[in-house]
Amino acid sequence: MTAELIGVWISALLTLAIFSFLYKDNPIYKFAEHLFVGVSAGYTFIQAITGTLIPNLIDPLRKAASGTDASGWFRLGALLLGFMMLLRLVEKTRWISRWPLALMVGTFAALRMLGHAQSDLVKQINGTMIPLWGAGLPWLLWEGASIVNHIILIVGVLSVLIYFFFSLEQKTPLKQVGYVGTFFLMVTFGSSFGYTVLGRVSLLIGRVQDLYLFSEARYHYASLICSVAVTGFLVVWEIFNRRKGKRGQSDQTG
Amino acid sequence: MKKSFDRRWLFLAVGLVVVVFLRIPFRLKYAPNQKTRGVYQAVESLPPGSIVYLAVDYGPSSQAELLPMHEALVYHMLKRDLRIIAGSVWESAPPVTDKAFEKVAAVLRKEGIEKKYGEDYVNLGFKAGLDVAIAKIGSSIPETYPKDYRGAPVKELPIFEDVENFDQIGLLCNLSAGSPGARQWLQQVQTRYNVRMVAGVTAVMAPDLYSFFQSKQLEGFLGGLVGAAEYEYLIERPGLGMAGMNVQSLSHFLILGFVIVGNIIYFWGRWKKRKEELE
Repeated sequence: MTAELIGVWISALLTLAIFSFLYKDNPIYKFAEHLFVGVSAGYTFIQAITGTLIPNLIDPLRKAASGTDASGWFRLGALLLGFMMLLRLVEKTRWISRWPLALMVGTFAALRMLGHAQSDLVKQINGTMIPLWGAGLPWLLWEGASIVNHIILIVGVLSVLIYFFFSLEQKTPLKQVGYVGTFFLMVTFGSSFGYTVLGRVSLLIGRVQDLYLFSEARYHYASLICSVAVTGFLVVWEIFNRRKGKRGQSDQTG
Repeated sequence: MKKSFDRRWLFLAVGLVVVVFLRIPFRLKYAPNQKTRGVYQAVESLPPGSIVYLAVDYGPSSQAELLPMHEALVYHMLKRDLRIIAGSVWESAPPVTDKAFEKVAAVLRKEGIEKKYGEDYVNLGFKAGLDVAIAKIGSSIPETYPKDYRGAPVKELPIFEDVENFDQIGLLCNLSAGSPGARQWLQQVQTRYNVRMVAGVTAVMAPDLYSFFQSKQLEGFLGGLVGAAEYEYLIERPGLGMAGMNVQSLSHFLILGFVIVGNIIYFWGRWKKRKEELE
């Protein structure tokens, strides 16, 4: 039995185990769920060591110690900050962890602020500075630049901005413009919902494509056998539960 | 007592449509939109030998949506003799990157095109640090990734002979399923270094990227399985995306039907209740 075949059987069984939740919560689903959480935690832990600690701390320190690259000694600062963070676990020294935390928050805030300002503010404002007519702009196109599309864009941006403008009381004409903005917001939410449905169905298609692949003779009909096993388990479990339920009821009445 | 519809019937209906129609071959008409054509044209516009930085920010859980477009993009790029440097800030991404490279290299081998690891493509693996890592990749790739996913020093790889930072990168292509992903690459690299950028994202993320496409920060993007199917259509290589798209469309019709029927029942119930109150 090859490693690939074992992987295929595990994959088919766990996929069907997770799908069994669509019927109702059951032990085989719980088993798959707990296994997933455990494997994810284990993978993340190993990645933290091999993908973060070793290349970013251990390797540079080793190089520094061997005299290959002295700049590796600077990583001792990171080690110290990491140690300070761990002091959070002790009640008396918890306050020390605020320093590395402050450094992290400060770095991320500065980096993101800069990125947001450039990408999400300046460039986006720039993107709304578009001609409404002239310059060979066609009247209407389904996609791309046209007079109608540009007007929709400008009206949409302004009305939604006014909808979220709380510095003045929303009276006429702000109220009416804001009301137009709600239509644009609803279209946005509808589009998000549509895309979400698309995504979820795609995930289902992906799993079913895999299950069809695993049902081939070269994989010893893994999907078919696993689906019979999972269905059989659900039937037995349901019968057992109903009998148990009836026994419980008769005990109470008795 | 109020009667409610058992939603398991809905799950069963969607499940049956997917299971049954995946086995019935039929083809719907494709009309790739401007976003997809933008990605295709960006890849086509690069001269052979150019370097593409492929930022792979998704794991196995999003494979169903993103692997089809991942494979289609890698196939198109390698076939056009572009060289690919792939890296990730998601710890679960490097095995998926390897999988896509291996599969496409095997397909190209069958077509008589030999592509070599380290020369035509490379997987740099995972780098911790989220936005900070992305900003660092922007300033120096070999410094951020001293070794590739296989443990080889990147400076010894032929693909890195003339690559130091994004000045030498012809196109940034991001495939992402969340954060950090396309938005962070736009913020930390595209805007800062004025790099040409395209993206491929899960359907849930796609609406967020429209504004960046409109402002021309993105030359194009692929959203979910539809994006993958359209791209496969453009490169004339049907794959997992096109295979799944027919069923996807039928499922959407079914869900649309449920939404319409649900609304009719809701409004009918409301009308009936009002009528009873008036009486």
